[in-house]
Amino acid sequence: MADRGLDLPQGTLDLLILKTIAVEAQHGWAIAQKIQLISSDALRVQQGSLYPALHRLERRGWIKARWGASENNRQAKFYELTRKGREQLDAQSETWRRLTVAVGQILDHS
Amino acid sequence: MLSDLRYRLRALFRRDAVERELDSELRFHLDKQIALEMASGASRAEAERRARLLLGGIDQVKESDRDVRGISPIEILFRDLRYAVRLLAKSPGFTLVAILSLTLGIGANTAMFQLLNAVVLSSLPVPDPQELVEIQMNDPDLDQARGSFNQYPSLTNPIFERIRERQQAFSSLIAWGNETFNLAPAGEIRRGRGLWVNGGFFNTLGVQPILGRVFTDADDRRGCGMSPGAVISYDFWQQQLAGDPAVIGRTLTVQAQRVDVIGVTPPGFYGLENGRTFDVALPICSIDVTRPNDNALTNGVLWWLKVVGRLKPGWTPAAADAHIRALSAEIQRDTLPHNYPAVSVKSYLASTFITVPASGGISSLRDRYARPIRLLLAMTGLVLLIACANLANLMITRGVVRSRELALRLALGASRARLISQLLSESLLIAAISAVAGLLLARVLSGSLVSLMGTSRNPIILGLTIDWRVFAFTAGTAALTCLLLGLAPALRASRGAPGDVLKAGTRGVTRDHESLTLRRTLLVAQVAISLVLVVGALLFVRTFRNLVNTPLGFQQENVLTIDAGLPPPSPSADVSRELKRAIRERLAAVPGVTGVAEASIIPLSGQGGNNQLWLDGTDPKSSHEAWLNSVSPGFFKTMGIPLLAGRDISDQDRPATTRVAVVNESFARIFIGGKNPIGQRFWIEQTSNTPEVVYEIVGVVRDSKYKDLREAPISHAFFAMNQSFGTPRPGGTFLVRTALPPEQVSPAIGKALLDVNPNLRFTTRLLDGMIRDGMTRERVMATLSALFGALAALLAAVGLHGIISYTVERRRREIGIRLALGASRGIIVRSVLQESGTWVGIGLTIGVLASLALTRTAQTLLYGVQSSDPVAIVTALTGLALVALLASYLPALRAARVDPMTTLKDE
Repeated sequence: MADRGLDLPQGTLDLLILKTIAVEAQHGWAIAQKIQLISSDALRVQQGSLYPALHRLERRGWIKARWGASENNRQAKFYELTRKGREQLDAQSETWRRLTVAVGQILDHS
Repeated sequence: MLSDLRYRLRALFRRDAVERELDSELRFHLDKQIALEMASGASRAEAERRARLLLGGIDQVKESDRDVRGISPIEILFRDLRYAVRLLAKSPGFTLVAILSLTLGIGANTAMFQLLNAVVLSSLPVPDPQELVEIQMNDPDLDQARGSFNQYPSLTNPIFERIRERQQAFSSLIAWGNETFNLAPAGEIRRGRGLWVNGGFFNTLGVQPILGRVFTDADDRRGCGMSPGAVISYDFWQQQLAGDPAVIGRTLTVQAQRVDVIGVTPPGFYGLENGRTFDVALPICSIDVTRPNDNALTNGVLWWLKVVGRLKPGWTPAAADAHIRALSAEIQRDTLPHNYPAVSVKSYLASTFITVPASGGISSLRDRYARPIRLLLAMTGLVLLIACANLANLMITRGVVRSRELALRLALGASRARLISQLLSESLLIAAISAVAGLLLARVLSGSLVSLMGTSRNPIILGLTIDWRVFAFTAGTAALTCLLLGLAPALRASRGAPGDVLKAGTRGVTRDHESLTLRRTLLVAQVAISLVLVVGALLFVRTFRNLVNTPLGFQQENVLTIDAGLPPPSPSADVSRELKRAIRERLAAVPGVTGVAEASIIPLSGQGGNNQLWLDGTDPKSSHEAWLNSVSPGFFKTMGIPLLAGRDISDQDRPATTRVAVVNESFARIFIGGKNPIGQRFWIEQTSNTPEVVYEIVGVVRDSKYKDLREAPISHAFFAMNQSFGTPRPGGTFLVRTALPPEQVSPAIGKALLDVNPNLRFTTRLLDGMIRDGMTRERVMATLSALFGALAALLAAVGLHGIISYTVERRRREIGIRLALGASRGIIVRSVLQESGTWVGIGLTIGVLASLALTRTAQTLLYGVQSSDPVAIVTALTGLALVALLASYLPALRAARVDPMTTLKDE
């Protein structure tokens, strides 16, 4: 599968999920598609690990789920950020940025 | 944290819903993915294949999702419980026995605790009960106080009014007195529980009427008559007035006075005294109408009011106490009654008032029953312990049976903690079910306990609620039970190297031995505890028997006591005397009546009066106490008290003639020292309503009980009713001895009384019934402790039988061999009995030592028997030894019937 996209480092899936639903509530499939789309197909979400991740976040109280109608009027489970989730998103984005900058600096240092 | 819990709980309890949701969520995902793949040209089948591949298999996703949801400790518990349910369902016999015995045990304990809670622990159902304190006279001072006491301890109205005037510590004070009211308009008395209250009583307590209104401070005024009306209790309204919605304004007859109902108090408010309730409350100023001769409001020697204050904000009970103590001298100076006996004035002026907490209400019930209830609770606790020991024994047996299974699971890598928690969950389940059932049972039991404690005339009314304390107690008991039941067997069963057990084959010999030690320890404990309980039971049974068999000095059977009198206004003294004489004469003429007399005090009715007496010619300081009664001629004959010397009181003893007295043997011994008392004269100290006068002894009678069954012989002087001081009241207390059963005569007696005067109010009571009621506490203790003792012995026997059977089963092979080698059956039986005898003996020895140490706490409740009573101990020992012998004899006999051939072939 490596040829079809990058595997996600441990723990980054949570961050990506939080970011993806930051603007509006999404259902699981849409979250997977969106991550793939925005990363220009560079990242491929293993769909099998998406749902356990979603439910883990739900359990932590970072996101919450509700049932609603999807585009074609079928019932789907939509996930949205909670206040706690938004705080987590901010904090983790910041950490991620600092991490990538730091790692980048070391790699660029010749 | 909260979301976590909610999520897990939902995952736990709505398992199916959660799984269904996950299903449809994944289904939706697949459909979307399939649609996407088909849009890019794949066939339906191909699209489905790709979508599934991408998702990575629905079952795998579901499984890892379940991991996320987590096997929470709750779910583990849940699983263990389900496992426990399966296990218990497999052995319904054990389960039934366990749950039944624990339900009984926990139920009995909870019921006792409910009682303890209601009588001792709980607060009054009024707002801010902790602000309430009672004002009393210091105990030693109260002992010196003179006058008549309606209840004890109590204060006079002048003292109450003075305290109310002077005190700073309380935002308001309340006062109340109890009296049994006659609620019948005429004829036979209908008893109602009456309450005299000051105007602020209900408002200070924060009791809002559910109908009408309550009294106010404006109702505290002299000469109010019956105009303020009456406040009735909810129960009285419901039961006596059928819940009449138009009850306000309805007229009641109270003490022959007509009074309007002005309000109804809410359900659950019974007044301030535990175990008592009231039917009708009247303001204290109305007492001048119902008891015009007493002048209760100004009378400084009539002690009838209880006084409670509500602390002002910022006042601590200690500060209020200091304040009230400091006011004492001033209050006593201001209230000193003009007629107070001169010799006692000094102690009156020097007496001190104190405060005691009243948040739990005022309770003579607590004084009488706090200790018995605690003891009974301890007893039920011990019975529960024995029951637990029995069940633990059974659990161990089950553990031994399962030891191979457990060893296998240990060997396969299960952690010991998991095994223990699994084994414990079984007892947790049993304990939990029993706790719930016990709580339900307790509701029934505590109700019947309360009715057992009351008498028909004085039923005890308690608000038996199941509050947090009761809940906590039951939960705690259940948790403890669970641990006792499960922990030892669980620890045991999971110990030891699994290899050994598996190697040891089906019998698990090594651990078997270990379990036997544990069982024997349990057995010893059981026997010891049941001995303590049986000894306790015997002590209380003996106490009760001693009381019942106490020589009274009079014949209590076939005697009716009759209270009869005319309502106010009182006629002249002559008319009253004539009425009393007519009543006696008319009663004596009733067929079946063999004796009639009047007495101011009915023996053992709880009433009494005493004073200081000294022989004529000796120093008044050499006085002794004597208990007094005024009686009519024929009293001794009617009561069956033998006259030993001299003569009875006679109708010739009149106010104008020499004052005469009949004394008892103890009086003669203490005052005269064995010399002939006839013709001796003695003086009696002045009281608030009698002068210092001299009496001449004209007769001596045998000792008889006066106020208490338990009292030692006391000096007793009987005066002539006709020579009493003060205005005689138009009526009195009469004693009637009948040749027929009194119940058959009492209708004719009622008719005879109305013949004398149709306005007479009267009530009758059996003398022996009244005396029996006085032994209620001892009867309750004897009955319940005997019940618990028997239960303990039975449980111990069951336990012993179980363990001996088990031992015999274990020794089956050995016994078989011994029989085969020629041992006689007698030897086998003896050896089994010897073994059980050893352990029972150890248990009994420990039990004797424990009972010697423990029963001492019950000494104050015993009568005529020491807590270390050898008879009780020896009886208990013999009884339990016999029970133990029987319990081990059956299995021993079975052992001796072992057929050696079959046993040996089995191996």
